[in-house]
Amino acid sequence: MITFSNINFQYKNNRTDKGNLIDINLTIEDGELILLTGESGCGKTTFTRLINGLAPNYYPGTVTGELLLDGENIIGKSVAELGKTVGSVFQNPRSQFFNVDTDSELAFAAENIAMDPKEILSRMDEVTEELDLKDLRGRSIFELSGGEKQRIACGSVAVMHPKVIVLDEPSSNLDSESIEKLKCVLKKWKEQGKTIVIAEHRLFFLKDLADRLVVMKDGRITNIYDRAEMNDLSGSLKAMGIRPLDEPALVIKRSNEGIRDYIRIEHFKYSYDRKTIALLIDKMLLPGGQVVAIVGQNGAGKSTFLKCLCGIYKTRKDKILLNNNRWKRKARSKDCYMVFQDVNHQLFTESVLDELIIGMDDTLTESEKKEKALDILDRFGIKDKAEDHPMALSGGQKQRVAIASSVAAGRDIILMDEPTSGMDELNMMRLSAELRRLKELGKTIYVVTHDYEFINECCDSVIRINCI
Amino acid sequence: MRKLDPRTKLLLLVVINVVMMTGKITGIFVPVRIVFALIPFVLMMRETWFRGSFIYFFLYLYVFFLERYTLQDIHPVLLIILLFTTGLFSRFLAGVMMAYYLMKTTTVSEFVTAMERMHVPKAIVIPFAVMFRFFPTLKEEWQDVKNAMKMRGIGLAGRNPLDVLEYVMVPILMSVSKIADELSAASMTKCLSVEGKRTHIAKIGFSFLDAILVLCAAAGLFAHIFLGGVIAT
Repeated sequence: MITFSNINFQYKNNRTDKGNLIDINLTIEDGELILLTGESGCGKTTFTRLINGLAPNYYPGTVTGELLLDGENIIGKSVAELGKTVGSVFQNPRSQFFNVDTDSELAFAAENIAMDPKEILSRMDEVTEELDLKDLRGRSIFELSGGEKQRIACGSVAVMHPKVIVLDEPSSNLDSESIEKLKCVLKKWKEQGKTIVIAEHRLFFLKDLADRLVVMKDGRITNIYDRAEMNDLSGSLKAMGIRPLDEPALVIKRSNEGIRDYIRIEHFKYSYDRKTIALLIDKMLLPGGQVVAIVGQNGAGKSTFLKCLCGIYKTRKDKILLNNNRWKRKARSKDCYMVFQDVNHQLFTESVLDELIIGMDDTLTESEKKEKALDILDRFGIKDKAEDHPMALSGGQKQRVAIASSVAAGRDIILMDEPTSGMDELNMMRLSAELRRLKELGKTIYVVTHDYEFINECCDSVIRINCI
Repeated sequence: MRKLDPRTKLLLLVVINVVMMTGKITGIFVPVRIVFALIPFVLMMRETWFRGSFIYFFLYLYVFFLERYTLQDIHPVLLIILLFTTGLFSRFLAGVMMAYYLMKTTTVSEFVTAMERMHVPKAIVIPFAVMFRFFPTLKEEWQDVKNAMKMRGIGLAGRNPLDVLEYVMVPILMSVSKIADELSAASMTKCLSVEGKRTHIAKIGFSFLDAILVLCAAAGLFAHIFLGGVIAT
């Protein structure tokens, strides 16, 4: 049993109140699955960090109140000590592995508490069986997909037989198939009677597993719904800025509105290592002037498609026509702008303003450039951030800077890779509105996404790419 | 195929570097150097990395003999340039390949096990262990940043090199430090700490091949110390 009584938490070194907790009271029974949700910065991640001890041990701050785990106050206990009873799965599959190979990672935590090697090996086999990890054993973690990495993360936690498991936005980088697998893992853990706390934006996959839904806002718990109440919620969540509990069905509008150009693609083929083909498109017709969603399973080549289209990857013998004129790679790379999934990799300069100016037409004078850049920033609602360092912004703001810089560079085709991963309702709606506005400005947008709510919100057409 | 013990690999790495970097390039040290250059070659062949091992070995032989025998009676400026490049390669190449082999064929848990058998304190072992995943991480990050620069049309040509350095380094450093931060947090929740005993599932141990290579390394060090291999003496 976990009891939060009058818990307040305030991060040190934090200029805003983001992520702080105020007056938290909650009792979590053994074997319960608690789903925590709320806007970005509402404190749900901090909630999980208090349970695994990362706050205040690793992320310093001041705590008042008591947090009892089976009657014992765990505030101030070391993370490593708590690790014996509390397992943690994190959001970013890239940064939660100490080892390079999967087997070492599965054994890692158990080795750290000096468990008998025979026992570790037998538990590893047991977990492999339970969580269906056979195809992932003995592999390099660097060659696994995001979904596979998350399965190994779950496996490495399960080897410890923890009583409590906390997960911090585990689904944010996963496609629907991987989410389904994650759901199976959670179901298994629930059957084993583990206490589970999940902080999430995407709720639909947890609807039939969650015992209670806890909604947070500005560091406080605002609402708690039990199973029965959750079923009557569907309408009122949106008003609270929360993603729907039921995965929306994909509504295909087949709208021809706004279509100006056509991009005709023939023999589009790409392979990373000359053996396995990552993308193979024989013929395809892409509408221009619309917001087009590109969907499909992980590994179907959606991101590869975007990178080939904007000329980052070289495809050989392709034939791409823009309104029946040959559209070569060089020209494509001048017309297209890609917003990466990890937007951190494409912001280079020391201020938001420079970020826009760097890609601008060189015939303009410095002052003209600056004026134009400020104008664009104003349209995107981030003019007040013009002098800030891009890395000091929030995720949503960084993404807006990247989109703004594509407008500044005068590119007409904007490609986006999973722009809504890990986004709350509010930011998702804002992005949708921005994309529709860009369309009105005459831009074409191709967006790879798994997010049906987002597609229904702003996309005109949907293209599905299947695995070969 | 039996795996080499990580301790043997580490010993070889040290000895190869010592002999290559501080040894003479004349007399008995010509065959000694070639034998030590052969070690990474043979080990890589064992892993069936044929292409890489042949490229490495012939490149090594080429620069070594260029440095040793042919660079006489040519223009002094050219000589300096050639000596500098060939000297650099002939001194570092074998060591770099050995380090690459070590990283590629040793799992983190084998490495940690070996270090702890030698009673190296955890505070030293852990940072070295993280190095194993640092390089592949850096490679992934670099790919992404390179793609982003290409896409935004920020080329190397016609720009201040310092600006370019900034454009590359800022995003890479930002994301590497974020990864390091999250990685430490994740490792702590997996009970990693500086104190306390660990157990190991990795099986390491010496075999016949280890014995031969250790003898080889010992002979190399012997020649280096007693036959006047150090340039300074």
